[in-house]
Amino acid sequence: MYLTRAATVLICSVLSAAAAATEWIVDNDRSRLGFIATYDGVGFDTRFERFDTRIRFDPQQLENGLFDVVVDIASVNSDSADRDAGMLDLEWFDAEKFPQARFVSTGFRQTGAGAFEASGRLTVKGITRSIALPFTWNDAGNGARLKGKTLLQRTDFKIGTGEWATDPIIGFEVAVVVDLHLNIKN
Amino acid sequence: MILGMFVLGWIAVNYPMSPAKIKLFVWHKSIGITILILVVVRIAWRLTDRTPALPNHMRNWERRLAHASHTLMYLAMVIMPLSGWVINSAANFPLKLYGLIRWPNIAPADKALQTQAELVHVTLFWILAALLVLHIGAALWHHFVQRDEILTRMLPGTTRRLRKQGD
Repeated sequence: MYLTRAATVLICSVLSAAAAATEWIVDNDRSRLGFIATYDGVGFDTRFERFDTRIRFDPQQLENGLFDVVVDIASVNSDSADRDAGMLDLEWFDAEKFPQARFVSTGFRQTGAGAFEASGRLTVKGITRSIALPFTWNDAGNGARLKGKTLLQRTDFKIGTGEWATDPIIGFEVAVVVDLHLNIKN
Repeated sequence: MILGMFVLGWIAVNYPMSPAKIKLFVWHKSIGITILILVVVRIAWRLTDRTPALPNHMRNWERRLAHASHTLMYLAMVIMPLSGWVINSAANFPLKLYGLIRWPNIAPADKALQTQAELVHVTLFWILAALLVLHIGAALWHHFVQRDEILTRMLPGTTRRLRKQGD
């Protein structure tokens, strides 16, 4: 009786492990999550120094995939102390009131060899919108690399209010850039 | 041009953060780089061309003061835009002259360097302002009190005439 129950538990756990897609952890030192915006028509790179991820992904089991990424807005870094401080202001990210941004995937589809698209909900400054994130996935044994990019309109999230909302000196179009080096979570 | 930059720079610094502030700064930076180029050309010209001699009635201390203030003005006119260029570079702001020509950065992104360059820039503002007051005051003094050719000879075409007289 006891043995049968143990065997059942064992079988169930093996089955559920097989059903769940692989979990990944981000190698923060080698990864980048940020955006490219423009100042007077010239692009500048920005990255977030701190972000937490829960990534479950297996190209063979797209239905079990999950991206859940929480970004610490105040960790924004564009190698410009003045600009970084300015981005946290009320008119921009309003980091005091909205300290985090979050992306949660709702589904995945394959678009080519090693190419996929994640659909999901992006919340920035308290505003949630559905977005698509096209990305490539390169599996390399115990590691993988995820590279993606998607274009957003900053005004969709009320980033840049008042005069900034209509003045293109800080460009409306912003490219979100993701380049993550991943290791299998044990 | 320099007086205009004093005013433009002063307004831009004190203007509340807005698209207009950025545009004021784009103008300030664009004109500053233009002045830098013009001053470099001017110095090359000055070094290769003969400057007419100072009037004979000038005393030695007057001559020394004139030379020193001219040298200082040229130095200030070079370092002023250079330090501005360093501020913009160290702050890691991109620059397109007059919104058209992409201009490179001269220094790496560095907050400490930016602060130092800002100190140089604002200190030179006062020094150059004082030198200009001295320069313009001296020119007017030469013209109205000394009644010599110092002011009028700055006009185009007069140098040649003065040189002929001297020959």
